[in-house]
Amino acid sequence: MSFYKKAKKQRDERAFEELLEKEKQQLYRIAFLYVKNETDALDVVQDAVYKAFINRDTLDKEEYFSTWITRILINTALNFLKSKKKIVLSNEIDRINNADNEGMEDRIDVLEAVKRLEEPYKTTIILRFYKDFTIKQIGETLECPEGTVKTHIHRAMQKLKHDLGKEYAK
Amino acid sequence: MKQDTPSVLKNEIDNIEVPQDKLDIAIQKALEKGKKQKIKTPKNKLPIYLSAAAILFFSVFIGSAFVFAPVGSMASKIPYLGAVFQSDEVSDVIMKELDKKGYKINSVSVSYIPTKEVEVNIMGNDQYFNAVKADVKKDVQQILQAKGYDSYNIKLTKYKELKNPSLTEQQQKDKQVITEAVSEEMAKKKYNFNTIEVDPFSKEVFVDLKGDISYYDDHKDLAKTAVREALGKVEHSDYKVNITNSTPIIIKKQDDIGSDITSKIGEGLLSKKEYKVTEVGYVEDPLTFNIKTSVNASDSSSRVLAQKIEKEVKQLTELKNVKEKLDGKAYKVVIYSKDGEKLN
Repeated sequence: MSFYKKAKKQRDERAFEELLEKEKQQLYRIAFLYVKNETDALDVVQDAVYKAFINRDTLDKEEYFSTWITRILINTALNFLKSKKKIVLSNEIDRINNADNEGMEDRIDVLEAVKRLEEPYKTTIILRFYKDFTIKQIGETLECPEGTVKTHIHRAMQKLKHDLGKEYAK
Repeated sequence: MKQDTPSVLKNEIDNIEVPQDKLDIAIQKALEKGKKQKIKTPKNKLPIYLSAAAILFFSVFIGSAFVFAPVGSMASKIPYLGAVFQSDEVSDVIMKELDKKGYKINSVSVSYIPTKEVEVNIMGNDQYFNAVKADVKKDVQQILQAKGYDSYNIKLTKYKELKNPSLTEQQQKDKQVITEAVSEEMAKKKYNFNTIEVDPFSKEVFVDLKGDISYYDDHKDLAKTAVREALGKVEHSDYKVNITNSTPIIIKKQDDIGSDITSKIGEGLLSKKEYKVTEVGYVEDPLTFNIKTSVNASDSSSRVLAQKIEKEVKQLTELKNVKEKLDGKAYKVVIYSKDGEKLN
């Protein structure tokens, strides 16, 4: 490897690691919201970080790192769920059924409600209220018009309020 | 009314417990795997060459004779950018000088954004770092001065070695046994592969097939079976098998004149305060060099500065070896003010 490449590579890699350090916890938490268990969340983070790392040249500016890697993570998580769907489905039904039996209303909180949201509502809510993405950024991430994003947010909030009861409603 | 939903949500999510150690290991693994890969060439063109990665590095080796040649005499014979073009990139000059003096240097990098900075990464322990840093800094200052570059800060950093999660003895043994068994089996079946990686943490085996995508498609299932067999033989059937095909596709642009010339224009214009240049970029087709400055369009001197920069670039493209590279290709130079207004 030429000198030039070596120096550039090292500098790049270090910058990436430093930026990642600030994001890693949030990335894990978002992954967890999708896959709902530690092992899979770690897998998703690992996969997303790898993808981000080898494609780091496509990132335009450092200040977009957070939104950029969050997008990669969410796509990774969604793909992961897609590939696991067949296997997870029956467990999932069990889980929901059991939860019903135990009296869901008593132990429901915002987090559980968000976890139970369907796509694209879940992603919309996480991006809007956890990652503070703008409507425009969400639109870019989900590849849909801004108007649609607003509708998603509205509907998602209604679902949440419905799930959470009047307690949280504005 | 209680707190509104969004802020409750934020708190709730932040309360999700993070398994720190495991997360760090997962990230470390991802980075290690990533580092083994070649960086993919971005598919889209980069309209702004310098700002794209936020950092640009230069390095080429050069005879040190030129380093301390008085810039004045040079500049009188050939235009400034021409001199830059014919010399080596500044980070290489610095690296070579420091090497020659026997310092243990890991890398020298030059960045322009957010600040113009020369960073020297020094190897060795704290003691060594503290002992040499003042001298290294002085040497770098001298080299920059000799080249007439006055816009850089000098930053010295210490080389940090990545800590690897260490394997236990048992894991090391497993790794070795599996690697041997798998490579034996692959060789026996005459499958072409690049690498075999064994990860005792996640209990996974990665076999990277060598060859194009059709080879991969034809052989991935066969290879998987072979690896499973091998794992069975050494009683490690609990390992997951991944067959990959990451033979890097290196897209090398044959004659990217834009990038060649731009890096030189970049070093030259960014290294001297008088040009007030903050970014240099190019668009391939039609070949356009975009140069951004820190002046306001309303400044009376802004047009003069733009003319001066344009002239420098023009003179550079008239040099014999640059001309050959351009091969009659037309190009444009566009100079922008601080807020993006065209100055020429």
